[in-house]
Amino acid sequence: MHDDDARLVTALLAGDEAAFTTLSLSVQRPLSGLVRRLVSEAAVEDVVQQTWLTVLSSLARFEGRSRLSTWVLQIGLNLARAVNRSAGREEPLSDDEAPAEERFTAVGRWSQPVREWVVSTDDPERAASNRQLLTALDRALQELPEKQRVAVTLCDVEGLLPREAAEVLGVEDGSLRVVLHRGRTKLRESLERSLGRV
Amino acid sequence: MEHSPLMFFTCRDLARNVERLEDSTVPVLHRWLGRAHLLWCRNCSRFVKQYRTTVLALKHLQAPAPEQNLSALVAFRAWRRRA
Ligand SMILES: [Zn+2]
Repeated sequence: MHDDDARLVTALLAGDEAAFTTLSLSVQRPLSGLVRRLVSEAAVEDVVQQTWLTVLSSLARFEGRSRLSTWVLQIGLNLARAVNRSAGREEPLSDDEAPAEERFTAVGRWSQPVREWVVSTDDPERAASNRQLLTALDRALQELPEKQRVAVTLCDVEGLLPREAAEVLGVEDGSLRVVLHRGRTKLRESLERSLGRV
Repeated sequence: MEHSPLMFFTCRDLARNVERLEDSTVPVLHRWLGRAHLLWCRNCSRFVKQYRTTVLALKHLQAPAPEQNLSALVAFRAWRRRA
């Protein structure tokens, strides 16, 4: 187990509230961000609180195979999935679906032109804060297959390292990168549909 | 295709390897070939800008940090009472 995590677990098991604040401050934001992308608005608060209760009651069994923070996120992800299953929430599309290869000809050239957006991307940094773009992106993210949505949310929205996101999803680094790339590619395609000049 | 000089050769390859255009573990020559592709291919040049904009914009979707972790703290105190 990582030294910092071992110290934190010992303090938590002794009921140290300051130690808990340290942990929750570092994880609460990605945890709420992740859960918000998975369950209905009404269920977010419950899932987050249930995550903390599960974390605390399982703490004595934490083996340190992943970092404590990613373990909390794993528990949040599992609880969110369970809530969706019991609510019969349908997940969009399949995770294995690769981005549209039909955009390319047999020799690998674009089969139709990549359309320019109504928002100029000459300065990506500036375009990235455009309101119209963000509204379309928010909706597109919600429509991604679950695994891609989790990978994109953790890495690109919440700023986790791909290695950490791979731990949360329980996949190898290499497959996380593939899932992440597919998710980003689908989001760009989606934005081209919403923002592309006709 | 991992580190082939052809990793950015076709538009499909470039789109597939877009993250690696700036990856310092990819040999300089290969990255240079990628940049050359972008110079002559308007579609890929647009694709790359849009892809980068998409990734940058995702950061803006982060919700504001919760002012206090009330629900977390409630859970902690409830657990401590029970423990
Ligand atoms: Zn091209």
